[in-house]
Amino acid sequence: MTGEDWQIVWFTAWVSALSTLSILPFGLALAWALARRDWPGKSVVETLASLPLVLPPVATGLLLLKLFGRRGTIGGFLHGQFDLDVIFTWRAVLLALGVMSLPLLVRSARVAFEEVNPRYEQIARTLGAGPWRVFFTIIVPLAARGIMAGLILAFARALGEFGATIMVAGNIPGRTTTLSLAIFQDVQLGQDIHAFRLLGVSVVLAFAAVWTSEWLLRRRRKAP
Amino acid sequence: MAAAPEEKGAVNLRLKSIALPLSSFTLEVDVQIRSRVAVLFGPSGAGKTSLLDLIAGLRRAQSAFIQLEDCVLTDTNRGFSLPTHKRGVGYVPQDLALFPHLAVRQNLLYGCKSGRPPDAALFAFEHVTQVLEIQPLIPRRVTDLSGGERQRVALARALLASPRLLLLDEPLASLDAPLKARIIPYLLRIRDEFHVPMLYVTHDRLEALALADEMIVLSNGKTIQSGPVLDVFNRPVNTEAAKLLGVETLQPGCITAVQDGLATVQVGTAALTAPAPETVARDVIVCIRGEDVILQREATTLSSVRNRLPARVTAVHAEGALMRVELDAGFRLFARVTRPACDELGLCPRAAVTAFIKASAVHLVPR
Repeated sequence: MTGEDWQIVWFTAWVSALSTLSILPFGLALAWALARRDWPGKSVVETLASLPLVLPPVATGLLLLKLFGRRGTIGGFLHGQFDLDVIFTWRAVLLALGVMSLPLLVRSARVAFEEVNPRYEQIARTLGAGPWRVFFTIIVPLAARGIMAGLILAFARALGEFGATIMVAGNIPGRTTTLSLAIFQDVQLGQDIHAFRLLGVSVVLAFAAVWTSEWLLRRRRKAP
Repeated sequence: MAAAPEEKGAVNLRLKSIALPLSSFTLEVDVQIRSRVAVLFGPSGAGKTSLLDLIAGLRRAQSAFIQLEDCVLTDTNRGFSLPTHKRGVGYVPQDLALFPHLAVRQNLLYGCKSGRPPDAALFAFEHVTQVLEIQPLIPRRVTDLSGGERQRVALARALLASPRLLLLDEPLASLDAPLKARIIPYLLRIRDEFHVPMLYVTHDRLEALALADEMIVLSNGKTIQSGPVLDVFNRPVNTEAAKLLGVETLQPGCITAVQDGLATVQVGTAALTAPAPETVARDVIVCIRGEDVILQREATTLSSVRNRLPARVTAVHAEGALMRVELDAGFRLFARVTRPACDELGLCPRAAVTAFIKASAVHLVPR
């Protein structure tokens, strides 16, 4: 493993973790709104939130490229107001990973929220707890296992993302190359040994993620 | 409405022009509750729980005006509804809803921490846990508690949030009869020690008799009768109410002597013999089922029956195959006899009879 390889591994791990963390607040809010509230346009948002699961990742990537490019609506605004470029930077990787993994978190968390007996929330409210306190002390802990499962799924999806990432972030060595992109490139160039080495690292990362989540869940189950 | 001098711990709860469409009927209630313990009595599916949900602000009514003391909780005319967490209304639901992810201690303290300074709490943690005898349970997990223990923890949790009114939804429904009898004294302690008014939902007559000052009978979403508990039981306004309440003799009595496990009870001008209740009490409610009263035209000299009361028939009502006979035996007594028996004895108003009631058929509920 060269220094460059470690850079790729490190970059992939932290950008995946960061994308998972950054979709957490929005993902939970959306999951809760879908599980417990009725509002106009709910079914449209519901479908939109699941779209990245069904669309080819490359198509999603193309869509993001159009939106966040300098001539795109959002990209143009960001460039004009904050001199911020997204496409072909690490931010594009973060964006692609977030968008691609959001549906997995939302789906898991939504089911978990739906399974929490509404009576607990109601009684917590009669005990004087406001909406935020009820959410963080009753709903989230009772749905913790589903949320955790969603986070792991989202993280795993982010680790392995390929299609959307290559569309919006390209494959710029040292800047936007992730494990998946590197493995693909190595195989293309006939550097199979190198590809296998990175494959080994991927296995270790995936194993660590799943094992940690199992461990966290087991610990939760034991706690009162 | 002028405020009457109130008993300590009495509530003033106004439920005005309540309308809430439910699946098969509309809940329509208009009552004012002014007592320490009011029982909402009715068969399952009468809308009792929905009414509690409205008072707690967990449901929205089509129309409602709800006022607790001088604080308006809901007024649909003005589009106003105080959020549940600001109402100060405690709620113990049928399934108790103890938070499964929290230990007993955290469950108990959940309502204490909502930004109120600790000294503003109405009841001290120590006091409540001591009165409800749950101190040994505090370190335990909620999932390790027995039925009766869960019940007391849920009551304590609601009390510790310092409610101005406690809503109890069939809190004893899941318990067997002996356990029920053990929990009722705790409810009476809550009433007497903490003076928290309660609105208590049940379809159990004995619970209603043991706890209620005032009773509201609900059927298919409508109030069919309300008033002091004994008045309601003794004078059902119509046949529907009579059927729901299961008319039988319920009279206040006073134990004058206890010997060999048998109590002598003064009821009206008559004295009855009955098995003494387990708890020491002077004031009791005497319950006699109509089926347990035997009527005879002439008194026999010797019989194993302890209670022989000369009585006069005041009214006779047909109730299907049976006749309900109302008697004046020094108090108002109901007997249920078959139609042929009624004809044979020539039971009609003003007929003189002797009523026989076995001591074991006289049930005393301590007040």
